[in-house]
Amino acid sequence: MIVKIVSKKFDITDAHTLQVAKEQGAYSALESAFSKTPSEIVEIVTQSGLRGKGGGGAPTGKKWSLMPQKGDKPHYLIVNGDESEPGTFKDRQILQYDPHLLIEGIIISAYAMNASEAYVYIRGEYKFFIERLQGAIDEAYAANILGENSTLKHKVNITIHRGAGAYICGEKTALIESLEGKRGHPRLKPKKPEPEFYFGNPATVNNVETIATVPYIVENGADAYRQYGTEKSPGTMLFALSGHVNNPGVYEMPYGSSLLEFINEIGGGVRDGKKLKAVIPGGASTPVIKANEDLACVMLDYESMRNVGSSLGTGGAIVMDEDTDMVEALKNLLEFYHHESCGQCTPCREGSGWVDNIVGAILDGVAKKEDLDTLLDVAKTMNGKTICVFAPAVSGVIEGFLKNFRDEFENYIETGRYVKTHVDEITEVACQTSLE
Amino acid sequence: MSDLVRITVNEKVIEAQSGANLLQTLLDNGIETPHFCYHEALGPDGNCRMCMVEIEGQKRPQIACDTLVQADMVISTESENIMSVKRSILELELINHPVDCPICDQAGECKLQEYYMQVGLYDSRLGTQKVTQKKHIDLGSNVMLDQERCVLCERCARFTSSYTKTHELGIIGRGDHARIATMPGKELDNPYAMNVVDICPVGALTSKDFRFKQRVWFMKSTPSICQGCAKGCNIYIDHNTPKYEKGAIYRYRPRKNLAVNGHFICDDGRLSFKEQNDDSFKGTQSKNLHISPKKAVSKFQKLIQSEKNHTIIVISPSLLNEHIASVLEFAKIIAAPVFSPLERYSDDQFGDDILRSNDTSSNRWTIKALGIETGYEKFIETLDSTRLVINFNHNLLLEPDVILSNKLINKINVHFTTRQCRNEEDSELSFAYAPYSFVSGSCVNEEGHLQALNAALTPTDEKPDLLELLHILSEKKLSQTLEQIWQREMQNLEPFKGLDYYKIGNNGIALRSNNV
Amino acid sequence: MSTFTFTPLIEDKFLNLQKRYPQPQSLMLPALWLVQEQEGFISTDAMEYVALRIEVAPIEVYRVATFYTMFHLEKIAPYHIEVCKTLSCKLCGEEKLLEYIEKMTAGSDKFKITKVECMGACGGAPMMALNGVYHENLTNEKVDQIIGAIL
Repeated sequence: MIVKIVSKKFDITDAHTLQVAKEQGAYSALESAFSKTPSEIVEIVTQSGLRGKGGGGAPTGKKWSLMPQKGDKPHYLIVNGDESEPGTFKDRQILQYDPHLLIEGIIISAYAMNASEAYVYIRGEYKFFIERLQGAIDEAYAANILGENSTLKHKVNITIHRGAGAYICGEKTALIESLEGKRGHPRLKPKKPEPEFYFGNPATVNNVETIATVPYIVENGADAYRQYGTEKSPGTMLFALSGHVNNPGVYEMPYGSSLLEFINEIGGGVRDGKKLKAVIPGGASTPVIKANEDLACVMLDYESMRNVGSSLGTGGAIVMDEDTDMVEALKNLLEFYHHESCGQCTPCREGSGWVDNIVGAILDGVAKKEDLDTLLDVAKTMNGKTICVFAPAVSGVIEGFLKNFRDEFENYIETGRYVKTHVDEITEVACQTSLE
Repeated sequence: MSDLVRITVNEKVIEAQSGANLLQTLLDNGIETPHFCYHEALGPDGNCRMCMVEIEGQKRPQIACDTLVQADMVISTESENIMSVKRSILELELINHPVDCPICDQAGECKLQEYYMQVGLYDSRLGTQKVTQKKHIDLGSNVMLDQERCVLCERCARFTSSYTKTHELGIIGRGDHARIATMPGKELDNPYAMNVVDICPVGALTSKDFRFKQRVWFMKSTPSICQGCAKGCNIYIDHNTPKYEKGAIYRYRPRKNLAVNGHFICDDGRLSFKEQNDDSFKGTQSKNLHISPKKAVSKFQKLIQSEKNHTIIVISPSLLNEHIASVLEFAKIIAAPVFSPLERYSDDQFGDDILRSNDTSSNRWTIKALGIETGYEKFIETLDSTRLVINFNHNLLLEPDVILSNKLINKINVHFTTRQCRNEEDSELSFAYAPYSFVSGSCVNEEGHLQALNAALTPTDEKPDLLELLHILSEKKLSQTLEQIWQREMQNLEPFKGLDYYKIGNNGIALRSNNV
Repeated sequence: MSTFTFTPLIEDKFLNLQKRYPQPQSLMLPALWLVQEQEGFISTDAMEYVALRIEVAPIEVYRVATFYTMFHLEKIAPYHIEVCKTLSCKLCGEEKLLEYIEKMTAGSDKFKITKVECMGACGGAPMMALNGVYHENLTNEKVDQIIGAIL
């Protein structure tokens, strides 16, 4: 079940240092990359079916091809290391254990999009990981891999840009706003497909893990990546596991692996021998899946998740056992969104506060039955009418909880407290599993 | 020049410029589209989400302010679906809005109230606490901020950054604790600051000057022209004359005129309404003592007879066209030369590159176009050989400097003014007449734009229209009314030949002769 | 007029960073971090200084400084403990842990305790950050060790 493409060097001591990394094959993809033209690299990445690993899952090759072919404006590669989605802690693994892989990926990706400057935007709280990456960058500069004195075919500068505590800066247009020195307000979306713009210059924003996957693809070819995963979700991803599970952590697996097997085999099952009640599969912004046949059969890929009404997101699964108070869980998440809303547009700014307060009132036992309808109605207003996808995510979260656990909410309204409801024991039913 | 195309809105076909802003197009066509953050002068911002419309072929409703007109667009602003969307967005705007209406100055001209009546009309289902913020913050420059009432449309911040470029205001904080503020310790401080009160769609920014003074539904709005400088910004005079009481002006507001002042006016002009309310100076006087109008009239007529050929007339360059026409005709009758020195009507510190002009008179264009002598030396030369000085509101003679004062002591001074003359004891006669907010008339700004003023308050016997006064003093030879003066005396003046007051309209007329 | 300036060391760092961006406005976050590194917090004076250096109006610096949670606009206690409260940590006993930390530090003015949102340490829940350094898989004993060393 475990496949090590991006996590190849994670268990090797000091693989974050240039010397050890090189011994383990770091920068070996550069030769292959520079023997091709930038367009050829874009083509390979497109053929590989690589999808963005920051939560959106958009095809990477298609994104890269939006960069203009001609023009005299400088191009920029911006790497999104803002990793703030609750349940997600995978990009930090790359920064900590194999920063040179990221640098290699940046060099190749920058070459492919004719960019000489790359910024790695890392969340402010990741001080240790910023220092790790900076150390690797310094080594790369000293070894003439990066910068003015680079001996490579394509010279690249990498600058780390430290965030300062704002989840919304993980949204790619808000990230660029932040990089331009402003508040992290997402931008209005263009009517036609176009690249991003950094001070008016064409730019592409990619997740850390996405960029770290590029060296493997370029060196081994599109098919080598496609041998793993599914038709529409090829390759592997760093999947994370946390919550009520015995072995929390980050594990690289092919797309299409069984979620339940992930939790039971690799994750060691639910803690304290308890029954599984629910899983949030891909980070807080993905609708919760109840422990039923859906959860038993669902795979870790974009299509499968969509079929059960959820989303793969960042692949960070949060496991909840049979004693979890789902109303409190929802309140916890709504507080997160309430704190993190940038406040720019009306439905999100006002709505995220209101829904947080409604669920608070439910927990305090002062809510009425109509408040559940209001809650769902506000969730509906927050969907599809805002500048970015933050509010639609909140909407999906609320709808997911209410669809699957409405009885707990109604219990609170009636009795003012948590009443444990029955949880089915689920086992691997006759589903298609892809452990291979 | 972009093409005109056809689009369909609410099943009606209208013509629009291809590529134009859809929201502005809807507004220009009188289609009510609620919005907060868009402003014609400041552009769209896309944050309020209130202007959503349904566009055929688009899965989700779109904000009209971020949409460009395309040929054959089919738009609905009235379908059940989009009305429901608008209602929901409005509900969210109101969730944390304090119900301050009973004490809020904005009541009656508040967009939240307006839109609630248009697309709201729902019962509140808020059962939890509202977010509270700071209230009645004095920002300086006569502007009060109430952070709770703010809908965070950011118009005011965009005004201070893109229009005045003074950058005082901005939204700080995040989420539902975001609020408008200035740099700690800093104030709103620019000559156009009070415009934020107008552009704020709600009662977050209000005028400290107007605070708690009057409910807007009691006031009438009369279109007029600011007389503070030669820019001639278009204004509304907001006034109220309660039954059996004297009328008062409560404020000026900018009136949109894209050819002159755009959407704004400067604070000096805005606050210049105060002097219009000053009723301390009225009636007829002689040497600082009140005399009866009858006596004043007869004294005047005796004077112009006895001092024939020794009379000089001085007129302020802020006199309205109609008054100038009447005075010029009068000057012919008594064969007196007319002067309008530019002294006292220039201020190098006042003008800027936004609206304000260094020329602080309001009708100098007409003075120059009519060839009236504007030189100070020529004026003094003639003054030395005259005996009777008739002043029509010129500041130079109302407040003469020492040298001029000494000359005037030996003359017979007659003043026709809207305010008290400083050396009242030296004036043989003074006639108070009604200032511009009391009369209808016209003036021409420095760019040659002829504009109309409309009377807001009503002249009285003690403060009559100058036309009326001159009609009496000329033994009814001069025109008495606005209509008459345009039909007769004004037609003798080259710039106004063929024109009529009632043809000037709300946006004014650009005059072709460039006699400046 | 602002009386704030960068120390020579910080000035050096600022100048090095300035070379890496096409426009000075990009230095907003880096400059604010440098201020906080130098003084421990960001004063109004410092904001006006940063505004000058990166060529924006002072209000823009104020707007950014109040948007991001990691900037302190006032001096805080020397030991800042941030306890993550978001779902995975909550599921793994954050509330009890916070109670324990508060009990341990009660009475001492050396600590500022803040509840923060997801720190990206979900696999090591529950966790806290002490002056930015992550401590994961916390138990009461570990808290005893870490905080005890300071008290």
